[in-house]
Amino acid sequence: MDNKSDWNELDAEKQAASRLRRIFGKSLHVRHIDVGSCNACESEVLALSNPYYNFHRLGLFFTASPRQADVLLVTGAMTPTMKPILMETYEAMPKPRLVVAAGVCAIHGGVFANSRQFAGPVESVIPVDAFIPGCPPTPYALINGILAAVNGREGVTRDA
Amino acid sequence: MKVLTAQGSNLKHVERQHHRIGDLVHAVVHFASEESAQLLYFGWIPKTGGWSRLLAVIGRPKHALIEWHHAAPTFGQTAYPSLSARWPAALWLEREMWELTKVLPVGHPDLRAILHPENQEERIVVHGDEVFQLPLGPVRSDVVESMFMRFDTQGEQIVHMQPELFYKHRDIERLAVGLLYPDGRFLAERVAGTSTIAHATAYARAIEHALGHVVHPKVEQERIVFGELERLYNHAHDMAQMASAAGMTVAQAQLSRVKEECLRVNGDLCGSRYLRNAVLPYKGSDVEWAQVVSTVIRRLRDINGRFTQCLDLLRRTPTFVDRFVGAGIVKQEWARAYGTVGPVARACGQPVDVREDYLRDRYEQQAYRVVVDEAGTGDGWARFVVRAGEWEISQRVLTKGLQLLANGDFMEAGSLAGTQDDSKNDGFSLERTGIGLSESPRGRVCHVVQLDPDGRLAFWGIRAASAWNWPVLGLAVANGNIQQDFPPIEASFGLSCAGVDR
Repeated sequence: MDNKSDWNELDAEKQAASRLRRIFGKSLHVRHIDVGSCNACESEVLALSNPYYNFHRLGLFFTASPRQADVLLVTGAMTPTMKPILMETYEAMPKPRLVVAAGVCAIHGGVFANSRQFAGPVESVIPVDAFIPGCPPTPYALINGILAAVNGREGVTRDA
Repeated sequence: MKVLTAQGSNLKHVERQHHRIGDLVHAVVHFASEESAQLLYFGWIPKTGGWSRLLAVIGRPKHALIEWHHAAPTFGQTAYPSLSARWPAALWLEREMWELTKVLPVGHPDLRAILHPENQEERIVVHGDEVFQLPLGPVRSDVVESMFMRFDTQGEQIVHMQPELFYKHRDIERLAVGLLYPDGRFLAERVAGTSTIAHATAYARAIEHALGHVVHPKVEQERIVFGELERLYNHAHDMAQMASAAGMTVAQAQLSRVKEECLRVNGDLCGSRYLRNAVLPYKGSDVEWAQVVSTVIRRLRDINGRFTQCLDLLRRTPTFVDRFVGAGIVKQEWARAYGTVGPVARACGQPVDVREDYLRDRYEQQAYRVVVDEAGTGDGWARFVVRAGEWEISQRVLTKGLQLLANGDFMEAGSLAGTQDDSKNDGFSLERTGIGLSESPRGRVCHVVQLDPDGRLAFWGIRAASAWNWPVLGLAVANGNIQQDFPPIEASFGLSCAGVDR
């Protein structure tokens, strides 16, 4: 039970990070959108910027506007109200753009799958590059998922 | 170590049946002026199918009473006198009830659709020269929940602000109908993820109350400990957000580090960083307390050292303090009228706290006391001070509570099965109906459930803490503040949307 991370594990992350720089320029900017989550996912996403995970070391940053974003990180069980807002946010992003669906709710609705207010998985609305399971996914899983999305798109061109 | 017996509570539940809804509203309005009376629940509940009964649950902690007022509508009744016209605490509740049932609360000032913000018509409140309307959300900067705010500004001055929620309305209450009660807890834990324990505890207590059962003191003791663990990481989070809103980057990093360490303690203790699967109806957790308690206490002490050091530095940083003193003042009469809860209410000098009001017997042996701002200033700084005080108390309650779990002789208190609950009065006519209360880091969480004879949920009503505080945020933000004051005010309120939206 000690709080030290194993820094040797991070080599693989660094390699992925250097690849993402070739595609997206020097860094990758993440826009988070909550389409109906319970707030635990937001809490974990926010943890990415704390000193323990410090995702800035990989060239990853949060951005305020979708217009400056490379990655859309979607959390939550999509409600009918949030569906058009999610599409609008996606449309506002410049190409190339990646979408990461984080948490079981974003993947298939989780415990809310049978709700009348569940409008379908994120993938039914916009193309998704990586899925991150978990309720909520841990911060390491989130970093891994974002980098996996980048790796999966190595051949992307600027208009993907 | 001596522990309490199961029947420690002297809280009584009394039923008051009214002939007409008008009489009920009249009786409930009477409590609006009674100091310390709290509106715990207000809404329609079914009685063998259909929405057929208006229920108001009033807590009167001074008298150790919870009063259940209910009345059935007369045949074809389509309107009743609005409660919120006299007690604003019910404003958002009655909007929701109107949208769901189309029974008109006569005299309600604003009946726009609340559950479906996409259908909501825009309401312009402020008119005049130089008035500028600034919409914010639902997608806005930072990692936050989706909600919308409409500011009316004149220059930099905020004249009016309306928050609009329910963008994430997941309809949990109706989704749960028909579920067996042990399955309902999966939903209860996900009403608001950062208040997992508060909602799971309220749900478990409501189920147990409905079925007339009191769990073993050890189970209740575990709930207390988990609840305080949840409070620690949430308060660290709120403090980090406040530091961030005031531009204190180093403090924000340090405080988010504290939050992460708290989450790791939770994860190591019960396998989930958000304490899922720890609180269940009727059952205790699987944690072997005797083996882990000393490690947990040692780690909490380390974390506490870092946290207090950071807060001491913040207290002595004028650029931090200045952003909060006098910002977003909640007037005492608002706090009372809107039934605010949690640190927001306690910063106004109101000792509203479930632990003190309804569970005192369970908490008092752990040196618990309510932290209130005696002056009742109700500004951002008071909310900071209240949270800082609560952190300290939580540490104390946790240390004692953990030791009690590890060393306490709980066998003395009777068999692990628990005992019969006799807090309801004789002839309580709402069958298999119960209420569960718990104090989340943001304030009082209240669940009302009704079970059918097979143990399936027939009705579930959820009142999250933030539901009482959101309407007041609008008033506090427009109370003589400018645009730049908004981030610190919002951070000092520390509200959540998920619990309100359900």
